[in-house]
Amino acid sequence: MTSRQRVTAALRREPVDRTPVCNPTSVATVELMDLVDAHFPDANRDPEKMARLAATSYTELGFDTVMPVFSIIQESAALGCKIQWEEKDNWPTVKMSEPVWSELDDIRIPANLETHPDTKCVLDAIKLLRKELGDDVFIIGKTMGPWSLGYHCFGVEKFLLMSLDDPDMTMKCLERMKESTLRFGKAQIEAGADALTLPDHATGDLVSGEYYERFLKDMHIEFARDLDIPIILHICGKTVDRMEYIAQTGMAAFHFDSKNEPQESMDIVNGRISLVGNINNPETLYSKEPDDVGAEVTKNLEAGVQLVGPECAIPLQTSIENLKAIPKAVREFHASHPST
Amino acid sequence: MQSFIKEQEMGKTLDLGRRIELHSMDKYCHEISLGLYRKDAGGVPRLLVHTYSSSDGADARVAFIVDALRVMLGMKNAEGRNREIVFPCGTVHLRALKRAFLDLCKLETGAELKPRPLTAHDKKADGDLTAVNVGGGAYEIRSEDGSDAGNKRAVAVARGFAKICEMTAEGDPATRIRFSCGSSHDELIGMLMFRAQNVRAAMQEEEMASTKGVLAAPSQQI
Repeated sequence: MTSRQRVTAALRREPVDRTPVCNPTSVATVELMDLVDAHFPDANRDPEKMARLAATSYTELGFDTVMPVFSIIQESAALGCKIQWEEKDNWPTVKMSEPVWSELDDIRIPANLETHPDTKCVLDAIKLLRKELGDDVFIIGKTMGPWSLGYHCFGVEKFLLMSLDDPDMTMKCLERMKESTLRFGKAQIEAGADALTLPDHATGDLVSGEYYERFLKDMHIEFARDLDIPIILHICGKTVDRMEYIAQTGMAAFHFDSKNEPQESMDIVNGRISLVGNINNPETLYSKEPDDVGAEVTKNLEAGVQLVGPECAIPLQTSIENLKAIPKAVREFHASHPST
Repeated sequence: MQSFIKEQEMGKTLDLGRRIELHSMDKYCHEISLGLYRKDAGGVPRLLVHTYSSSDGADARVAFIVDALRVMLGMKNAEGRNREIVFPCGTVHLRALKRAFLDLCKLETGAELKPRPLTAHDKKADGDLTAVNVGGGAYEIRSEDGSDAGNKRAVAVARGFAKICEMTAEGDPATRIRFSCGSSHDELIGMLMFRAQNVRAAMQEEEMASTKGVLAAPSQQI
């Protein structure tokens, strides 16, 4: 199987020759930036640099996927948010202390959403990757869900308080913001993406499973229906309390955090959605040894997790040998478990 | 546009061993990253400085940092190995090496390299403190003027060395520290004297470095 065939099959929960190694968020590191001369922040704003850095996931690390949308701010920039672009060794972030919207009528998805330089950069990078990598590699795009956009555009505190004080208004806001998710997603499909990661940060630390069911489940069902390629939902943190709902959305996969036990998570989703993950970033990939990475890979494989990879965008200082330990451990596992 | 994948080719990363420290943006050389790698061969840990950057001056920058490790930490070339260096004692003082490597990366290429003295002025003691090599890998921290403040600071600095160099503190008051290898490391002690005098700042710097480059969920970016 090619990498693309392997990932496609795993997202459908069909048989694979080995478990694919998948990166639904980012595996960019400062050393890889040096290797291909494509550094942050430029690699978030220049399509060729973005594509060059993204390709290292396949050419250097041996992953089956590439993902050029390293950050979570591209469409927020197009929506008018102020961006702290940072330097080579740090992530660009939205200045959420300077929100751009405060009420429903402020929400405007601009006509140039897809042609703004920071969103167009993503589309051009996807086209470049498709042209350069051909049909063998699985290309993942990213479109932010409305809950995450709410944090970016209203500010986290204001948006969460609104969800408590005025749930109906919150729903109306989400309904308006979902246009961004759909339009940017569709533009990436047209550019050649094979799947889309859809981060919607209803994270375990701030939002309950009941909240997910009330505010987001139906909207996620719509995304899965209206975006015509596999969608990989990404939510950080402990999310076992909402995996039952997530499994009902019709999305292809859920990118889950290491705060969730692989076997427990697999038991909950019970074959209705694939799982991707969940190698711990801050402790294991960043600070520990390749053997520790391998142990976490094995734990996921033993649980039957369909696609293995880091739990979220990896720290930029992560070592290359720890990242290479992921595909290595997958190959070793399958060599010693030929029937799995 | 040229094909970047053809230029990039496949698999240009190297098996350099375990990366033990990273200076992610070097202000003296095009903000390249400099990694310190460790490989163990025949029981002897060998260290290598490497950058994946091909920027102008990157090789010279790496060579300067290697020179700095030799001169300022008393390391030497590994036998038969061109680019690798070792501690003369044949072990690796990991924590001290990591701290010293990051500090050496703050030196501009071409800066004068010479071992730092074992005596340093201490503001809080309002006097000089000396790390006296008493043999067997042990050092005694002494206040030159023997004042109360100086003696207290000698204990504090010994405690600092114990922490940042992973040395064992001995004596009562505990002003003596010892390397587990039993060998002298005057250059390393001299290099890290100012860090041992202000361990809290060193720890804070380490803590800040450990969170940099980690992407937090929007909910945690309040």
